Amino acid sequence: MKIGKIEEKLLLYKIKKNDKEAFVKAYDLYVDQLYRFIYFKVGSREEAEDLCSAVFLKTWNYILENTLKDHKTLKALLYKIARNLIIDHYRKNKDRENISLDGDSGIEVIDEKQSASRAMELKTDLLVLETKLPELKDEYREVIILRFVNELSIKEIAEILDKSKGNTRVLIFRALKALKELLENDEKMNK
Amino acid sequence: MTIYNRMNDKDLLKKLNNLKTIKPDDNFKKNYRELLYAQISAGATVNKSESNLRIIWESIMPGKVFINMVKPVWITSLASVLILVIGVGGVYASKNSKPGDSLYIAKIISEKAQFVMTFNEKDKAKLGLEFATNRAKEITQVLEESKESEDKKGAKVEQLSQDFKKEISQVKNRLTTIKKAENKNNQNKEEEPEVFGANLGKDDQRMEISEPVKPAAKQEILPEVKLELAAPVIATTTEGSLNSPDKALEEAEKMLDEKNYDGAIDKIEEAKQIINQESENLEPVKGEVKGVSETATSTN
Repeated sequence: MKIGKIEEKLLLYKIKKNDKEAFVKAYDLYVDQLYRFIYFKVGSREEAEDLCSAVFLKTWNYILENTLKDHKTLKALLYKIARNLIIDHYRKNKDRENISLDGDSGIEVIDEKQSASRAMELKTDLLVLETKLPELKDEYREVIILRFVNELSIKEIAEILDKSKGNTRVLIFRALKALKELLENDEKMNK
Repeated sequence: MTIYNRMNDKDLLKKLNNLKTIKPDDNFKKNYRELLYAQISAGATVNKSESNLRIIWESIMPGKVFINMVKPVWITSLASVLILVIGVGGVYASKNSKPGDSLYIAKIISEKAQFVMTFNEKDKAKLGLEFATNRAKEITQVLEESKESEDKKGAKVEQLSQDFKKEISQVKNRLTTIKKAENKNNQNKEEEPEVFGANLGKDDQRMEISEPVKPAAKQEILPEVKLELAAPVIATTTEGSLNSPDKALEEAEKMLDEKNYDGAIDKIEEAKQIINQESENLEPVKGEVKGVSETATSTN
């Protein structure tokens, strides 16, 4: 589900006025991408769901307690809270240093028109990417998900990461390069 | 064939974008949606939904910001308008006030302000005459209207007469300094205006002297018209000599001493007129008028 900039501003305005229906609408809009973001960071479906629900509740409480003057977009606020919660989650589970994504990642090839071989190919591609992404540096993985999976703008990513637009562009470039190198190394090893 | 063989940037981005298919479980979404609604309903105050148009208007021009922006502008403009109205009204109301009235001070202050705001010496002299006229009028007002005792009236009249004389003496001083400055200027620019004026005068003279036997009707009309034009100018050249405003002022002073206040006012008016004519004569147009007067006198 996509939303226009004006619509998003209207939604944020309503939420600032503690409009709970607007907040539930925001949940419908952003739950998928937030879940995806968290899932790629923590690597577990259950943990991603728990954290995702915690993000929305914490965001609502934050809105009630604060005037939301600093945040221009709701999306940026949600991602920031998600990042903080993930950091807390890491602190609590120090033992788990490396993330490995669940075997059953929930990938569903919905398009029935696709041929079986094409569907299999797609699923393989995704699985390879899924396995390679956790090997990336945390900040690289983060920007790749934000930019190329969740399709956030550079401006939005810069706001979430508290970086300048220029720094964010550089980070994305480096992250993409690192991912490509990982995939090439993997190919060489397979040969 | 592995994915790496056919991989380029575009493919990689496309495949990354395909990770969008990773979504939370529908049951989780639905259940948590209800739970979230229940959780936020428990703590939050219920707010009515607002119309989008209203929200857009408020975000473009937030009411408080608008009011805050406009507030000081309004207050200052209102205050300045109020001050202006009170000031103008006060001055207007004080115009006919006499010593002892509450607005008399406003009148004096406005006179002083006028005086300070005037920079031309001649205008200052004219203002001084106006103020002297005001004092003379005030004396008549005090004598006619006031119901006070004769002693008090006498004191007020005495004070006003002194003020009148003070104003007159100041005007006199000012006029002498103006005349001195004019004389200096005339000495410096002696040639230019005379040549200019003489030429104009001669042209008219030649016309009449060279053709004296021209049709009688024309000749009769011309002197009449010219005489009419010349009449006030002759008066200025005879009466309007350098000392005449001073003379008028001296006469005004004398009349005031004789308690002929209306006469004094008339004399001041006369002095004012003379000053006005003098200042007009100083302008370049003067040459033409002078020329006409010369022809008129020559025809006579």
